[in-house]
Amino acid sequence: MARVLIEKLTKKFGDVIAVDSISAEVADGEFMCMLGPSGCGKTTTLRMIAGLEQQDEGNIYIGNTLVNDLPPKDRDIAMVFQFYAMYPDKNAFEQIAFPLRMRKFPKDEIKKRVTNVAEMLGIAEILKEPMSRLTVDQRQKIEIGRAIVRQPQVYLFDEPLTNLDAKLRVHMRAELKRLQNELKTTTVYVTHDQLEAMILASRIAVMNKGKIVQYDTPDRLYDRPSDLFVAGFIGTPPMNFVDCTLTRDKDKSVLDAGDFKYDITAIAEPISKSSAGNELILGIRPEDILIRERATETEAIEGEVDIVEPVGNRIIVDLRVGGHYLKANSRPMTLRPGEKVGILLDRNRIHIIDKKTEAVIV
Amino acid sequence: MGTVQVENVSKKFGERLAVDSVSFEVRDRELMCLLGPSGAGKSTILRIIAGLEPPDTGTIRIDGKMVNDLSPKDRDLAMMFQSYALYPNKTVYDNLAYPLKSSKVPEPEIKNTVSDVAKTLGITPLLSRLPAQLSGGERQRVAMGRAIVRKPKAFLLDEPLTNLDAKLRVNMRAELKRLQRELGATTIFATPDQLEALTISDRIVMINQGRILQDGAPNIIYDHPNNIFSATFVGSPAMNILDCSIEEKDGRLVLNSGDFTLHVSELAEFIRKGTSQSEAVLGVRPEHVVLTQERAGPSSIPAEVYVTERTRPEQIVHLRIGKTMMQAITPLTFQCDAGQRVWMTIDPAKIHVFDKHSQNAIV
Repeated sequence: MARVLIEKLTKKFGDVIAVDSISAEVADGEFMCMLGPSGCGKTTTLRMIAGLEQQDEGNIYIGNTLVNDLPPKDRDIAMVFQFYAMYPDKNAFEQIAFPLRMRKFPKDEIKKRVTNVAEMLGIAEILKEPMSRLTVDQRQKIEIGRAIVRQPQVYLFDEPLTNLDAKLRVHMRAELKRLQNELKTTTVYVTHDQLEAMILASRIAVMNKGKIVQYDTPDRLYDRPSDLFVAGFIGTPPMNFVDCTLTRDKDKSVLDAGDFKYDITAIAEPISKSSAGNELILGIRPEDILIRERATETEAIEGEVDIVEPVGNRIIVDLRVGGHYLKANSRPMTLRPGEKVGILLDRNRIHIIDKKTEAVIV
Repeated sequence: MGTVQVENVSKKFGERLAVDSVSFEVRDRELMCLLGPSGAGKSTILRIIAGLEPPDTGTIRIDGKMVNDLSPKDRDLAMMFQSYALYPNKTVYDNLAYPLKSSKVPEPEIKNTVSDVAKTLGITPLLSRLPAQLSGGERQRVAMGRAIVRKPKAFLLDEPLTNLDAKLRVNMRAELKRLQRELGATTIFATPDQLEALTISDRIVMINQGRILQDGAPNIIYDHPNNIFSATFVGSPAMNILDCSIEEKDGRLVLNSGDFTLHVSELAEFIRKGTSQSEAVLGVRPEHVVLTQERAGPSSIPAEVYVTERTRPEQIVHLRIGKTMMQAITPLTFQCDAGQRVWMTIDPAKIHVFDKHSQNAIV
């Protein structure tokens, strides 16, 4: 196993800069996700690491080896794609064994490795079955088995769960995570699904417009996003954003959103120290909004319940404050559309963003 | 608006029974959701109501009047599909006016109607824009607007949110609900997405293989599914489903999964009445599996943590009990790592029991 290091990678397609001088290190044994909307450059980056695409500038190291000029097969990586490129007439054993046969491994070694991998994936009983008799779930496991049987230095995954239905995706996500716990192989995993990244990754590189915006642990990205893009991209339902103007009255600092005011005196210092002007964005995650019966606490913002969405063990509530809508994610409670409520924002969990630079200040 | 009644409707395509004696009623101003996997028959039912497909048997009534022999355009229904097909070269105003122009409504009346509808939908400032200059939400409003200028009796929506990305979908479904309520629009909404159905419907009709399995309010479907299919289709992560035998232990009724037993004395009467079999299927929602670090009582069951998923704001804990796999939803503050031993407690009052053969709910 080995680390992966990319340095100032750049790739242009015609006039479009797909990947714009990005650098990152994936530590030995780490599960790294590249996360971003389509067109952000994540798949191009993965393909450059694999050697399927040649970078215009920059370096790629696997372990301590500079692999810029190595063809894909000499980079000691295994790549899993969205679609299964299976051989329909071969049985499950042969599907998994294929990469070993290609490399002329001895028969005993092949048998040992395939059996091991199959046991790890819980598919030992189906090794003799032809592919046509297997479920999608089993086929996906075989695809993973074929990637890990070679024991490469690095796994590269390109949205492997995207085409599965919702139930199966949840199941396979857990299987992948458990496998990573056991194998601890360096992994680079591309996805546009923030939940998948949050669950699987030890660190996530959030990408947008060819650049890495933030490279951090899932908890840090969730709790301390560095800018408006990350704050809005991670988490569902997404963080609420309210445009505000900062007003200072005597010794008080207040965010004025037009329809409501919010006192931030206690956290005003970093804002005045920053280069931000008075135009700010207040960010608050839906689960950090508390709904109270009307006017119990003085600092509560008065609002109205607009829509209540039950989602099993939680409810998502659209709250209306004048012309603003805020989404709250709460434990079940009885609320009726039109009902007046008090809205509390968890003071320790609010974010304040500079409207001009979109950087998170607090 | 109006009501829609579907009575004993069946439809075959070749040998395949796509819709099998389906009956339901949509009340005035109600948002009813047809929920089921792809191929369940949802779209066929919508097309039969719209008149795009004739039923083999059965009756469609709109506002009490049978419409089987009416052509689609005479049924006073508005149908919207996955993508909002607005005319890209026409302004919002002209998009809204188009259905009226083509039915030769006089110009001043068109102007009035369009301006009223635009006001209702809050899109008056957008009237001179082209569709390309609108956000997804605005486009949805314009498409709805174009459908309502004709003052239909009901809306038929076939997976209107399916092609949107996940983030946009969360906002659009609330937007759709808001719009439907403002307009008081009787709406039938087909979707394979259980979360969409739970969040926006007044009522859900659960459908599989052309048949209705359950018809009820979202909380009824979630809390009291009447069969295993509904129970596992609705909710994510899905309800834990385990084969069990019904046994007596020390004179008390227990469900034995092979890997653990659950005392269900309180439910004995219902279980005895519900089935004469010795086998049953136990269902437990992940939020009803309560985890503790230490043994919480005599009914606690030891389990091994298989994988944890910090889905924020909670976490999903995958558990292994012998060969049985289960999932629990717990607060993030519950500390646990893969391989660790924890204790789980299941409140018998929260469990579901299904008949193994009929798959129907007993408790």
